Amino acid sequence: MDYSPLVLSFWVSALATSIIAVFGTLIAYVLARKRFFGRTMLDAFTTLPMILPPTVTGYYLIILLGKNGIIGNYIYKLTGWSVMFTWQAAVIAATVVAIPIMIKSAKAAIESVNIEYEKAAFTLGKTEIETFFLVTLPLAKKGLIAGLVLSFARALGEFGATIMVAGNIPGRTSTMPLAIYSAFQSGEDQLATTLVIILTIVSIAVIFITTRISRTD
Amino acid sequence: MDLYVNISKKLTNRNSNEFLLNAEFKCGNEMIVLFGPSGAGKTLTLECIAGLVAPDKGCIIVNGITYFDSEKSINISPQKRNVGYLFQNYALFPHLTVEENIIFGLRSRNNTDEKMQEMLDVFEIHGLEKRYPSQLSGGQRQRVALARALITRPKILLLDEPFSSLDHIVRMRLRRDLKKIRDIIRIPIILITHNPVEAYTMADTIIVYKHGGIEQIASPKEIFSKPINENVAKLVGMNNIFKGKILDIINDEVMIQSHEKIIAPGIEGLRIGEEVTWCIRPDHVMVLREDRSLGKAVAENIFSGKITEIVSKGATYLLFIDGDFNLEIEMPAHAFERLCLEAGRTIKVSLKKSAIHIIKEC
Repeated sequence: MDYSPLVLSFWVSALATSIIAVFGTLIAYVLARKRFFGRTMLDAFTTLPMILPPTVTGYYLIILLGKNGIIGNYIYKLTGWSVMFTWQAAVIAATVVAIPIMIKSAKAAIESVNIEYEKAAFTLGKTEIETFFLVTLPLAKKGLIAGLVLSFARALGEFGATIMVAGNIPGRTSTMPLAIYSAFQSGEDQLATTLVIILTIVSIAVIFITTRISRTD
Repeated sequence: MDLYVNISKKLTNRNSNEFLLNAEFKCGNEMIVLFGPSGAGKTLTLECIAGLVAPDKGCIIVNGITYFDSEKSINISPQKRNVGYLFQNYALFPHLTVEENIIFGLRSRNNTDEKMQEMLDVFEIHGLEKRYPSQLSGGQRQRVALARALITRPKILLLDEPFSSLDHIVRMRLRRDLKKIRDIIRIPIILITHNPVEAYTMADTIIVYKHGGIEQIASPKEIFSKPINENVAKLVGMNNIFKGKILDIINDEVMIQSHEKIIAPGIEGLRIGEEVTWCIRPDHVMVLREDRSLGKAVAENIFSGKITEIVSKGATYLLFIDGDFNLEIEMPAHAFERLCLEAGRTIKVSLKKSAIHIIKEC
C-alpha cells in the first residue's frame, strides 16, 4: 500500500496548524482586546473562509497566488517558481480554510479571561507581551488547544480548496481526502476503505480530546 | 509623598449616554476615601491614576513626577507608574500559587525570599505559599492581593471597594491591616467605598463623589456633621432634610420658618428672608419621655408626631413619624424598649438645636 497520502497529509496539517497557532492566536488576541477602526471588518474577513464553499476559497487563492495572480505573478517574475500545484499550496489552502475555527475558538477563550488579570499584571510592571505569555495565554490555554485540535482536524480533511490550488498529484500533493477520491474513482476499494477508517479514527479522537479539554477544570 | 489629580474624562456607552468625570484633589501620606454611590466615577479615577485609562484632559502628578499631562502629551505607562492596585475582586492570578502571585511584580530576583517573608509576616499568611487562590478564603485572598501590591514598594496604594465582599470580622481585620500598612510605608492610600460607616472610620479625608463630580472634600467629621449640600447630606445619612426661610437672626442663633418655627445655630452670611435647607441626623432626634420635665438643652424645637413605622436594626431602632415634620429617628434599642413605643402612638420629639445643620441655597 502507498503510505504517501498519510505522511503528506500529516505534514501538511501539522505545518498548517503551526502557522494557525501563531497567526490565529495573534488575530484572535487583537480582535478580543483591541478597539480600532475596521475591527468588525477584520472579524468578518477572517470568518469568511469558514462560510465560503472551499472551492470558492480555492478560486480566490488562484487569483491571488497563481502564475498570473495578484501576488503570484511577482513571485513568478522574481524566482521563476509558482506555488501552484506544490505541497506548499496544500499547506496554504489548509491554513486559510482552517484558521477561522482557531480564531473563533481563541477569541472566545481570550475574551473569557477577566481583563482585570491583565490590568493587574500591567500595574505590577509587566509589558503587554509579558502579560500575554504569563497571564492571558495560561488562562486561555484550554480554548486555544481546543481550537488547534479542531483546526488540525479541519486541515486534515481539507479537499475543495486543496484540489483547486495543489491539484491531486500522486505522491506530491495527493493528501488523504484527495487520495480517497482517486482510489474510489479507480476502483481501489481497499485503499479507499483504509484511508476512510484512518480519517474516521482521527475524527473520533479529535472529538474525544476536545471534550476532555473542555471538561477538565 | 504626595499626589495631585486634576482630570476630566468623557465616556460614551452603547446607547450614546454620556458620562463626564471631573475630579480635582490633592493629598499627602494619608488615607483618602472616595465615597459615593456606584457609577459616580470613583473606579474611573483610580484607573486614571494607575494609567489603565487615559483622561481626556488634565494632569496627574506624584511626588513632583508628572504621570499624565494632556498639554505636555505626557502619559507614563501603567508599568512604569509603580502604583499598588487592589482590584475589587482582587484579580489574583488563578493559575499561580500564592507565592508566585506575591512575587509576580518583582523585577530583580535579589532578596526575593526576604521580601516575600516580610509580606508573609505583615499579612500573617504563612503556610499558604503553595496554595492556589481558589483554595483561600475571601480574607486570605485579599491579604495575598495586598502583599502582591505592596511587595514592589509602590508610591501610591489604590484600593477599589476593599470591604465590599467581606464579612464583619474580616472587615475589622482589614481595617487593622490597613492601619498597619500605614505604619510600614508612608504613602497616600486611596480607597473606594459606598458605605458611610467605612468612609467615616477609615478616612483622614473624605472625597464625596456624585455623577462624575466631586461634591465635597473634608474630614469625616466635617462631612458627616456639615454636608455642603443636599446630595452629600443624603449620602451621609442625614435623612431629615427640610426647606425653610430665615425669619430672624439673634446673636449666634437663627429662627427658621418651615411648617413650624425652628431654632438653629447660625452660620455666616445668612440674611433674613433667605431660603435655606436645613437637616438633622436621625440619631440626633430625641424622643421625649412624657413623665419627665424637660432639661434646658432639649426644651427647644419640640414637635409631636404619630409613629407610622418601626424598623429594628438590631442595636438601634428606626422610627418614622408623621406630624409637624415627617421625621426619621434612630434610637438605641434599650431606649426604645424602655419607652414601650409602638406604631400609631403620638410622641413628642426634640430636634437638638446644636445638631441642626443649615445648607445655604446656591
